[in-house]
Amino acid sequence: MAWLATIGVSAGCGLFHRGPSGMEGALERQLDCDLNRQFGLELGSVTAPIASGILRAAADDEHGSLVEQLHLRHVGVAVFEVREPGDKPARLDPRKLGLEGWETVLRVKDDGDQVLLMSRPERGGIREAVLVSYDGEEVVVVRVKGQLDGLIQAAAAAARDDAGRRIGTGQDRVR
Amino acid sequence: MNKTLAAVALALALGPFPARAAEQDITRHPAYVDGSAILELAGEDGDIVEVSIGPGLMGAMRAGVDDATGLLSGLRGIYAYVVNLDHDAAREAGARRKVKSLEQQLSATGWERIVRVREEGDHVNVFTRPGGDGRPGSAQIVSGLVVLVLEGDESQVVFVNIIGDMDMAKLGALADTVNLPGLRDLSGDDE
Repeated sequence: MAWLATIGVSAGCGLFHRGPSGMEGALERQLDCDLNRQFGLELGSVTAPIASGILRAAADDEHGSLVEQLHLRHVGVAVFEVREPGDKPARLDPRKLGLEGWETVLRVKDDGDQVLLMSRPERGGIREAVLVSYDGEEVVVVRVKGQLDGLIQAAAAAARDDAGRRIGTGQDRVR
Repeated sequence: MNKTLAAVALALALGPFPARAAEQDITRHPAYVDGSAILELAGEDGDIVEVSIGPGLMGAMRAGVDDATGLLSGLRGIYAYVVNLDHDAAREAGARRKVKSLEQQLSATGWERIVRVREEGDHVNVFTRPGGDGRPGSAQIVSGLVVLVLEGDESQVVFVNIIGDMDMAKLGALADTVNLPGLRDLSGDDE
């Protein structure tokens, strides 16, 4: 939600750029399709903190505090329309996306959908992450730099609370 | 998308990242098991769930969640693969061979099988690696865990490798935390 708000704030500021670059060709080759960039946004070391400040002012205390902890230095978002998709898009391969030195945290290919989450270690914490998602119609690439530990920890707490509720009611156990 | 959601929850629940370079080479840990042979079963375009949580991630996880049981304090990493075999007889046969080979490899290298289930086409194996270094009171500490599951109905194979010191008495809590096939057999949950 915070990211959507950041995008909204930034869009309001008119800060449109091309977004993350260099991956488009590699994604086209792996996914066997043509990509048409529909939306691109890039906030750099000056504009990302300004957007964060606006967002903190607009958010409630809890989320404002979280955004402050992140110390965002860079946010890049690109949304591509998938054109002329091939019959069998390959599974996303981090080695072919120019992400050498990054660590794969999560890679999912399930019934046509794909998600790839990569991180890069730096100075003892999460400082950079890239998320790629593909649903057959759109590819979304998000690249974030900052002190992202707080974001993961907040997500971890939410995931654990959710898992606790599901386990408590005996629902949705994995088969 | 249950698998996907579970994987995302697992990845997020078992949080953040790398500290020092020396901590990164977890492949040298005696409880690290290379499960890439299982991943190969997916070919180039098969459905998978892959989760990799290295030492740095584990460290940040400990910082970010309330670990009242101390369950996370000794963990160094979690690696999991879920590969869909699409009810392809050849791939299922290949999976059986690779799982059997891994079972033999584990048994020959100091791992102990603590769970073995054969039920309606499902095969579940859980192995632990003794730990505790013989310290007094450390008999129930293990230094690693491997879960190997072949699910006939779902036509999928699951590999989970959890690395680090764990108290056997708390494995049930771990099963509830990571919520993966095979670990359920440790939780005492009859669902």
